[in-house]
Amino acid sequence: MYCSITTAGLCGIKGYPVNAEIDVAEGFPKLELVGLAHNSVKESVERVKTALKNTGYVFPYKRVTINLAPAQIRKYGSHYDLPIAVGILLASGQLEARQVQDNLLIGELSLNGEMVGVRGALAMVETARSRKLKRVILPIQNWQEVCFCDDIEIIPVSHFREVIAYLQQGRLGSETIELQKKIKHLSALQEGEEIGQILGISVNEGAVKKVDFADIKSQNVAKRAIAVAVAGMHHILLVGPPGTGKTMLAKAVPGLLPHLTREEMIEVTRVYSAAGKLLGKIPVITERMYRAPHHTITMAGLLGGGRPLLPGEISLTHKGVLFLDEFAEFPKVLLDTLRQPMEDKHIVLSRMNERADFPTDFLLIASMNPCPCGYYPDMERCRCSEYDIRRYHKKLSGPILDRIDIFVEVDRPALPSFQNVACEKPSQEYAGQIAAAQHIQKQRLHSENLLYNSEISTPLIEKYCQMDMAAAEILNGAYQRMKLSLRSYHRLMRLARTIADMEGKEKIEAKHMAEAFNYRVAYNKYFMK
Amino acid sequence: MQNELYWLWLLSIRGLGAVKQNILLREWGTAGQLYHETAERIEQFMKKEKIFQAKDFQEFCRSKQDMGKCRQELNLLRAQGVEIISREQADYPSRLTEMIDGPPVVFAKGNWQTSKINSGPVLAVVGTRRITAYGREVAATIGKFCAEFGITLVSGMAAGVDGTAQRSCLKHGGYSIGVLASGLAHQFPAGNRDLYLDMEKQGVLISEEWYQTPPLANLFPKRNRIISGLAEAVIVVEAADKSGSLITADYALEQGRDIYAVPGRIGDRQSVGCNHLIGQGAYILENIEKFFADLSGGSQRTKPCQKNLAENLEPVEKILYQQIGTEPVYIGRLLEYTGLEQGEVQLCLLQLEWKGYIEQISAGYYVALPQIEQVPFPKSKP
Repeated sequence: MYCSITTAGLCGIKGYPVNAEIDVAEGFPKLELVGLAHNSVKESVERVKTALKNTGYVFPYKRVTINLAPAQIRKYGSHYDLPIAVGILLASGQLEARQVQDNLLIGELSLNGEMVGVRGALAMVETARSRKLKRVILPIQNWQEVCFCDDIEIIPVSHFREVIAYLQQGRLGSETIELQKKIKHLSALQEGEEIGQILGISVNEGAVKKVDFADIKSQNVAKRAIAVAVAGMHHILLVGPPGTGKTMLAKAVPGLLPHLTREEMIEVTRVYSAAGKLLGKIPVITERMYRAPHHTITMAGLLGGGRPLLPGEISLTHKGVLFLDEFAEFPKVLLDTLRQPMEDKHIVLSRMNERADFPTDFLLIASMNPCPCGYYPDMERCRCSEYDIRRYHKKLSGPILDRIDIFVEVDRPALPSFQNVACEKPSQEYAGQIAAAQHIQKQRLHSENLLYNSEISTPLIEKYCQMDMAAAEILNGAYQRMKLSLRSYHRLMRLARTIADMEGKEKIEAKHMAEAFNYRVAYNKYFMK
Repeated sequence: MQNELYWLWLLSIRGLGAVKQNILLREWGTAGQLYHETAERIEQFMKKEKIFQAKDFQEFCRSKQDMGKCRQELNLLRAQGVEIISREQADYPSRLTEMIDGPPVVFAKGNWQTSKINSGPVLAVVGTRRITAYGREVAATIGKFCAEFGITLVSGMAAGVDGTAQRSCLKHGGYSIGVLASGLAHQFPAGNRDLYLDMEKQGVLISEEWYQTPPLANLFPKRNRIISGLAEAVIVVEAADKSGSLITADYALEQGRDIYAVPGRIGDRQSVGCNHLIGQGAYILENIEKFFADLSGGSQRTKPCQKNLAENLEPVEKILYQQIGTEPVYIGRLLEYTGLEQGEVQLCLLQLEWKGYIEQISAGYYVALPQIEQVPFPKSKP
């Protein structure tokens, strides 16, 4: 007897429908699994055999053929257990089910028939929705990540028996009904923060343990520069001697960013779901992510890759913060590969027979020492020759530096201000300023469908970055003195726009332009030598 | 054979340095005459002069069999457009003949013909490769004044003081001589490649080494004697406690050149050498304008001073300027001190920098630039 079960496969962060066709026929007992199944899928048969036995069913002692269509795409993952198990019961006549065709089935089975969470559930549920299927049966472990999907019925189950009960009699377990109520409630909410609270994910669990600006002594210049960077989503490079708090400053950034919106939460969760990173403590992403990969990272680790294609660090920090410590120690080739994803905000990875498109809208915070020994320009301590320093700076290629808007030096705090503990402004104060600046940008750029000043394209600059006479004078002076490129000229205007927005000023003034210029000047002075 | 080939032959004799070459030349005058002298007379002479050893005579005779190498070198030099300036030529620097170890031949690439090495004033500038903002400003000013007073600037093409002074000199239309330690084929350090190209166009590069000689460490102190030898006065801009510039100063002392040291603050590592020289009796470079006027024999600058000390600074700018010294100051300190808002401080600093009072030497670090050209000279008491 033949039957077909609808399930889904995963390619990158997108799902595609897969039909698990099962045929049980008379003949010499044998099992064939066709449809380009990867080893991770082939093992599924052994699990299904045992799980069926342990839940009181029999694996047919007949000729069993399983086909995963479309057969030309390679299938990965353990989530084909459930459709195969259900299909075998149907095809061997052990199960009489109604409305199997309207369901999407995904899930891994343990040997005793319990459901196990799977990678990429969100993308697969979205596939079901776009295919106009009525409901999705999936492991209970995946219920939080798919709670954003309204207009499709989600049936989270914890055991194979519940699946059978539902398919046979349309009966749902009490736990499932409880969860479905929660999902309905959540689908009405818009704010990411609220959703996180209802799901029981505390703010600190989602991202790293946050650092508050109030915990960092002095460094007002760097704090200000970071606030500007965050407000306009300008990439930033912190330069400073070892042990001055560059890493702490970077860790404080997630706390400055506004909360994720519902749409952003879905986007980020989709990436994490596809990467298989949601099965631990964090079942859904509700906070901006902060990741700090070590400089020995491989290209596949940074950009994404492998088989199956998994998202890399730049996608895992989508809508979040990518902190690259010891920026100059990263291999030059690796940094240069960041150029396109930084510009396009997504990356398309192509392998022989796979192609995946991952989002990469991250804020880059890089940090490095000013010279190999780390103490320049303190000539009393620095032991590097001018040549050493130049060679150190040369490790960063021009194009990648050109994409960084702010260069700021972090200084060793002097003793007096270090002891003066009370006066540090907390992150919250900066965050308020940033939120206000971002609101202004959103209003202004609404018609262009943009969010931040850093995204303003060159033809629009004149329109949106208006300045007064004094500011224009400084800009022109800078252009002539520093021999700026036209691209740098435009970057200055965008940056000054953000600085002016932080004060809520309509037009860019001289002091805004001067500050922007000082953030950019190091680039021309040191890295272009 | 051509005269040039004889000179190359003289250089090719192994074991014979500049001192021995000069002793032979004092007797015979030119390399050509030396080449054609009979072996007996040479042997007699070498026995008489204590400095020569037995193997010097053997090498002397052997080298005549090995002229192919010299011919090859000559062809190479011609192909590269290098001039060979030997003792017998009128444009050979006369000050080098006074030295017991002056090179009998120098190779020149660039504009040797236009040099006023024997007619005009010549000044040597040396100093550290690890230059501070103060040293950079002084070196650049010296280079500029050399150009404006028409003084030939001699230096060693190194990073730091040398390069800064020479760049500034060429930029203002002056003439400079770069003395290399290596052969003329090499451009060392590579970071000064632009300067090498400019020097060939506007100044001249000279070396006493064969064309392909690499920049070996032992050649640099040897080269320094030519720098001080060419000039009538030597300025040491910045020098640490152990510095090649001090070697140059020693040579200058032996050669009877005037040594001027640029004073620094005690405790500044890059000024230790200079201050030590002053302690030893070197002149202090007090007022650059007066120094150059004296050196050039009372001639006037081609361009008058354009900076105006009385340029009005805004009150805030004045407050900030007073806080910035020769040591790098971090902008965060200035914020803490003045209590002003970031944007305003940034704007004032930018204005100060563009007016030429301060320099941002690294992102957020500022130093004051010495207002060298405007220092009043103290009235001497009667």
